[in-house]
Amino acid sequence: MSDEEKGKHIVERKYVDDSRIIEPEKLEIGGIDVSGHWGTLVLPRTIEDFDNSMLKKVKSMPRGKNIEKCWQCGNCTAICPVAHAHPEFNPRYLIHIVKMGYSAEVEKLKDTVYFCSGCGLCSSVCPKGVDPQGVMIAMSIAFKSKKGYR
Amino acid sequence: MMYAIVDPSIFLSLNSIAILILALTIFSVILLFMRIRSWGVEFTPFSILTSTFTKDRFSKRVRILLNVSLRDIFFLRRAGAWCEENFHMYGRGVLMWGFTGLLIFSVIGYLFNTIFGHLSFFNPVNLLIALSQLLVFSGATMLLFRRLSRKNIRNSTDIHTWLLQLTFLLIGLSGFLSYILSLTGYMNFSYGFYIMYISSFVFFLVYYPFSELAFLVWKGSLLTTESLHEELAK
Ligand code: SF4
Ligand code: SF4
Repeated sequence: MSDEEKGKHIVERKYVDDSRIIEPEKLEIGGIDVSGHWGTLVLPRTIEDFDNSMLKKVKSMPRGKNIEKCWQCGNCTAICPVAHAHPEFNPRYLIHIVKMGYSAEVEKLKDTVYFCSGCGLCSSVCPKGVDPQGVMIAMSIAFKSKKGYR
Repeated sequence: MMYAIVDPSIFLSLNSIAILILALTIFSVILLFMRIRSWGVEFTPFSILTSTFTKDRFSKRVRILLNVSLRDIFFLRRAGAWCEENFHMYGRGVLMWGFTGLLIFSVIGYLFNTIFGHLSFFNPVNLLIALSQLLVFSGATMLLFRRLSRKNIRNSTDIHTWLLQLTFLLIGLSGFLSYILSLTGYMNFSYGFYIMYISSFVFFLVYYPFSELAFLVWKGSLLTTESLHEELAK
C-alpha cells in the first residue's frame, strides 16, 4: 500500500507520520474478513519520540520566548499569505510540534519554516502575544543551531 | 564608500569619509559574522564563498550563484512565490534595488571623482546616486506606511523593525534632499542634510548586524547556497 493510501480515513491524516500508521491490507478474525478502515491503528508515541531540546532553543531566543503561550487558535495560519499559497507551511502546526517535542514531525517539516516571508501579519492577530513571526525567526535559527541563543 | 554629491570639504575631506566608511564596513562585517556565530549555527553568509570557490566546476558554480541571486533575490522570485502581499513585496524590492544601486554608484562616483576631479551635479553617476536615494526613500516609506496604516500590525511591530526602516528612510531622504538642495543653491541646507546622510549611514553600518537584517542576510544566503547545491546536483 502506498503512503498516500495508508490511513486515508484518518481525520487530519497529513498530521500523522506514516511510520506510526498500521493498516493491514487484509484482516481476518475467526475466518471473517474484517478488512477496512476499522483495522487502522495509530501507534502511540513512546518516550523516545519526544525531544524538547528544540523548544528550549526556541525559548532561549528573544523573539521565541513566548512560544509556550500559544493556545493553538490558528489565527496565525488563517491570515498567513504564505500558508495560503503553500499549505505545507503552517505556523500554528510548527509551533505545536515544537512545543510538544514531536521530533519526527519536526524533522519532516523543519525546512518549511524558511518559507516565512516575515510580513508580520500573524503577530498582528495573535491573541496571546506569542509573536509567531518572531517564533518563525527563532525556529529558523534553532533548526540550524547547536546552541540556540543569541 | 559614500561618494559626496555636494562638496563636503568644509567638514571632512572626501577621502577621510571614504576611509571612515570603509573601516566601518569592515567592522560591521566582522560584527555580523560574530552575531551569527553567537546563534550557534555552522552556516554564515561567508559559507557561500567556500561553496563557490572550489576547484570542482568553479565556473558552473559562479554561473549558478549569479543566476540564483539575480532571479530569486534581486528579481523577487522567491519573495513573489512566497508572499501574496504585493505592497510589502514591492516595498522591499524597491528598497533593495535602491540600496544596491546606492552602494554601487557611490563607489563608482568616488573612484571617478578621485580620478577625474569633482563631478558636475548633472553627471550621470550623480543622477544615478540621487535616483538610488529616491528609491531607498520610497521603499522605506512603503514599508513604514504599511505598518503605520494598520493598527494591529503597528502595535505588534518589533522596535528593531521600526528602527531599521527609519534608518533606511533617513538615508534615502537626507541623501536625496542634499542633492536637490545643492541644485537649487541652498548650500547650507544641503551640507546639513549631507551630514545627516553620512551620520545615518554610519549608524546603519554599526546597527544592522544587531537588527533583523542580520537574520535576513543569513537566511537569504542559506537558501541561495541550498539552491546552488540543488542545481549542481541536477
Ligand atoms: S495566533 Fe497565536 S495563539 Fe493562535 S495559534 Fe497562532 S501563535 Fe498560537
Ligand atoms: S510573518 Fe511569516 S508566518 Fe507570519 S503571516 Fe507572514 S509569512 Fe506567515
